[in-house]
Amino acid sequence: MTKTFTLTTFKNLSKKSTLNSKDLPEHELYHQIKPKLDELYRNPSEETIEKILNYANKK
Amino acid sequence: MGFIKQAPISLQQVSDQELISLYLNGDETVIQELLRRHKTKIFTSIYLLVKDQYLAEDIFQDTFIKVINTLRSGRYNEEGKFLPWVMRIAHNLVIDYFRREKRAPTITSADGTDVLNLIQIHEESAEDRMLREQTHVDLRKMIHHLPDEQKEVLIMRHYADLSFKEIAELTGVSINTALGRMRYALSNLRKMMNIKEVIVSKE
Repeated sequence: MTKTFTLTTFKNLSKKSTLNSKDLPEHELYHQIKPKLDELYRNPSEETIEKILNYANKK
Repeated sequence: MGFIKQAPISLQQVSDQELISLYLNGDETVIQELLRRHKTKIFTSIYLLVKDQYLAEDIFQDTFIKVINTLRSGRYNEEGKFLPWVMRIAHNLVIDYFRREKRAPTITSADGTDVLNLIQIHEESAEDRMLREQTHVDLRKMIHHLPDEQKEVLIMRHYADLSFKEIAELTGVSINTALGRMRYALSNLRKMMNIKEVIVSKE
């Protein structure tokens, strides 16, 4: 049987009230690991931001 | 205190495309707002691809210098899709870097047969690190052990928040291929996490 996987599966996880059971494993897995993935977010240093802004403001 | 000041509410409500128009009309301050909106997504994506904070800082800076130069030259025509455009620039700079250094991550088969390398990751972990920090380290390593094409899709989808259509365009594959790579990436991450749990439970 062909396994379907819609474009909205990841994008609108929180909006879906019902899920295609064929998508459930990936959906569940993404829910499981999303908080861990989110913990890896990080930002560039203020020094780098300052350099970019200085460059942007140069005439 | 950060260099990126909170933009006026009116500026926060305008689209990326409107901000770019303002910049092209001489308002350099809107770059701050574009950075505020997108810096975390873009920087995290670069960092997870190159695995080095300082290198990621350089590539992030080079990315925005290219963005600014392109905007100034009047060559920007992405019709409002600012983030995918910036991600494409960042992605190309990362590829350029790996080509120069000739140390691109190993390309492995799409079925994720290299996931057992996690055992080695576990052995390399510093035992005296805090659990939370260790989790981050392990997860970053798991992501890096994904085949390149799966890692790219995971990072672009989750961290850069690109759609699968945008990812497909950026990487030159079909949407179905991008979706399949994401599915493999998640499946392989699960395998690696399961392996790690087994290892932990045996100790």
